[in-house]
Amino acid sequence: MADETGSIRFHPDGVDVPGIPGESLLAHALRGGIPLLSPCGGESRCGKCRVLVVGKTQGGEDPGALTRAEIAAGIRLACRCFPSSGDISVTILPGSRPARLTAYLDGKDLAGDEPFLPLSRAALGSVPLGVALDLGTSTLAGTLVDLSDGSVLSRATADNPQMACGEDLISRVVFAEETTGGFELLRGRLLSGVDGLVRRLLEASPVPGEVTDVVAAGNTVISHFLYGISPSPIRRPPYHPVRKEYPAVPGETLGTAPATARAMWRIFPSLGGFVGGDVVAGILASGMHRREEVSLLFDVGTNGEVVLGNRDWRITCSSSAGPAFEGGEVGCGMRAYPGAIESVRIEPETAAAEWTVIGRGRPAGLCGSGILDLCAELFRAGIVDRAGRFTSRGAGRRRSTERGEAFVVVPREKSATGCDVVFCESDLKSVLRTKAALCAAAEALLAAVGLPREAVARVYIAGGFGNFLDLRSALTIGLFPPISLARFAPLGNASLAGALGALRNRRRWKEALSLASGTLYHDLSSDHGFMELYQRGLFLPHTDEESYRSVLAAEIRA
Amino acid sequence: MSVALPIPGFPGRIFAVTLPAGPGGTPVTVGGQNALPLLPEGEHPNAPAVGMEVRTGPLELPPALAGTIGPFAGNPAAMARKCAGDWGARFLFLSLAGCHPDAGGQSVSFGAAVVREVLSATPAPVIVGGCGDEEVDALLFPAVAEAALRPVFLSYAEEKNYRLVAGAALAYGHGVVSWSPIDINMAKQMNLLLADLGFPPDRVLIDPLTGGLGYGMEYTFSIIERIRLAGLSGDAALARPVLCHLGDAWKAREATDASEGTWGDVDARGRRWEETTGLACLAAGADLLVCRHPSNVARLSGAAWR
Repeated sequence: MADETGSIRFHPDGVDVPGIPGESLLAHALRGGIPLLSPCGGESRCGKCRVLVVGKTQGGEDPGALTRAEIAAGIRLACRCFPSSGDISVTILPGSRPARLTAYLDGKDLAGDEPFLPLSRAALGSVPLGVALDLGTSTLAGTLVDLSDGSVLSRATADNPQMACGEDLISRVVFAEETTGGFELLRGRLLSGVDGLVRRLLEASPVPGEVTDVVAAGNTVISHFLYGISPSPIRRPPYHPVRKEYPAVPGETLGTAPATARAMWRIFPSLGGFVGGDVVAGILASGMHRREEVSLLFDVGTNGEVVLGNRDWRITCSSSAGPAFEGGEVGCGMRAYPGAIESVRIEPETAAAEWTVIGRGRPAGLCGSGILDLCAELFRAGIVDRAGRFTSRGAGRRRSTERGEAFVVVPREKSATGCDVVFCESDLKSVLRTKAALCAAAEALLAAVGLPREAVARVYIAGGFGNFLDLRSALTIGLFPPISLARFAPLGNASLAGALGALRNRRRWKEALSLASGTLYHDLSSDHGFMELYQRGLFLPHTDEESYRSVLAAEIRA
Repeated sequence: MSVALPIPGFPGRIFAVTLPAGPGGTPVTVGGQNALPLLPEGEHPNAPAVGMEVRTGPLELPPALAGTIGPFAGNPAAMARKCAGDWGARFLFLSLAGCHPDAGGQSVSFGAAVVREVLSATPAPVIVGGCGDEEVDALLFPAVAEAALRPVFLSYAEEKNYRLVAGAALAYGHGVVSWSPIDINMAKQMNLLLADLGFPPDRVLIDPLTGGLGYGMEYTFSIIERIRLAGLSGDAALARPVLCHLGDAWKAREATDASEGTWGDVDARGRRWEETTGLACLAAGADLLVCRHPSNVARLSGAAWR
């Protein structure tokens, strides 16, 4: 038998974690609070938790994710690598460290001006403060408000610390179910992230005071974690959440830090398992629930949520659009961090790509808006056909890779990684599936209520990706139904804007509560027409290309 | 209150497509209609045409076919002459199935030689089908396109190979059959892709994939109907004649199983199974039928009224 497992030192943080036999390096890192990317939640699917190991270990040599040279150099997947004996040194590779997202994104509130009517008027000795929170799957964002006059005191964002246990929600629900103490760990991470965010908000505030109210908007899974309920039923048929409404409770009941322990926490109600309070807050911010005209609201993320309706009725659905625009399922995809290409133009004659990079450095990959641009430009330049396959054009800019033929976006001598940044047919197919699912979801809602596309007067795009995407590119590849560009309005972080609105005006909060019961949840998995609509979308821009051409001829090359 | 009057006809019209014949032969023109089949209104300038299949490679014939086309198995040229001459087939579907690696793996040049042989044996219009193996077909279609000294149709172009098939057809002046797996949207997508290549619309036929009676016929029926309705309603990408292979009918146990004594005579049963499948296709709107049983040519042609 080998020696006892010693200590594990993680670099570059320089943190020692006592080794436990049979526990993966990823689990050690989680225990030690070491930031390490693990988008799949330790399921050995994504190949992104790469570490350089010195010492005796077993496993983690997945030949699908690592090359022979990498394995020989000591690179392992942390989720499948176990310490065997002695002290071990583990270096987390740069690409596997979560980058800090510092950009704060404001949301627009289009619901109209209203009098300041705060949720509560606590007669305290100090200034009453309110916190509006957007609890996103990957990012937490908050705004601190002076509840005596409604002014904004500070803003902050932070990564959602749950990311280490899975990048998408289902991975996290699985993690909570299958890991001992997983639910408590995930809940603890969420609470620590929220507490940290509130602490920073208070530190940055020019006015000291006491937090009396917190309004939080998050998807259904995050809301369940925050409220201390298991989100497990959401991932099993019939995909219903345990609860849709979360009665207001003081922070101490939820277990938050003393700063908000005495404050009243209001969590936005959920509409369904995959349409959460963030969407309710988005509706509030768009003001579509107050107008007579019919609007569409898109929230583009891993799950694309769509809402259709007006002041009298609303119908919503969630389509498993896939993470193509969040950098998942695409070989060169990455989140919108520094080093990500955010926009692309292709010269039709030479097929040469020009790009802009977040942070102005060398590009390492493409984020959602860059991927969208690239697809649209490849199509415009005739380098891919309507089915998403390479044509004979631009062959000089392509090379064969182990994943098939690929278009070279950035040659290795110009990239940050020393490797070509390439985009292959399977990447484009994954974008096609994503965009078909999103567009079909909107068409399915229109079909469900029997309205033509022309009836849609406004289209709101919520979310970070929605704020930065190029609408022309989006319509060129048919991400949205063919509706005139002039009717589109990006909302930015609508979830935060909605939470802020509710914090400043208690009528808005009442509206949010009534939206939960006044919005119909449309289940796409039981919609017989959806698959056909989806198949129609698996084409550039769409099988119904005539409509795109007639409505958007000026804006796109259809 | 005003009530909208029903529109007396469809705004669209199906493209007329001609399958060219050799010297002394009769070309087949189908399409050109602006109405649904079976109904009195509209114009139907061309009646549906019935052709027969000629196959290369090993053949396991069911009882109903063994006695009729059995003697010609293995001799495509003689079979072609017989089909077009004695049995009245207006066109031939020459399937080069024998080039498939699992079916003997005849060489590409052999396949091309068969095409030349059949084309000189009969002046009837010919559609040449690939063997179904992606790699072989990638070589076979260009070879066939070059070998065919008069215009034929190449079957079939799908999303994966359409550039190759349509490219070969364009270079040598042939037509193509655009294939999709019982899906109206994919049928339209295929035709849009062909149009993007600049392929002339009057040289394209739609093969919607025909299921045999009891084995998917009803799916095919409704897809043909929807393709036709879309084409007549003005969707130009779907306004093409539809080609139906009745071969799937011969995969049904009911058409081939001699051991079931209570099911009646297996010869009559097999023939009728194919005929019924064909009648359903005609009712749905098919313009070209490819059958295997010689007596079904006359029977289905007789039913192809309009």
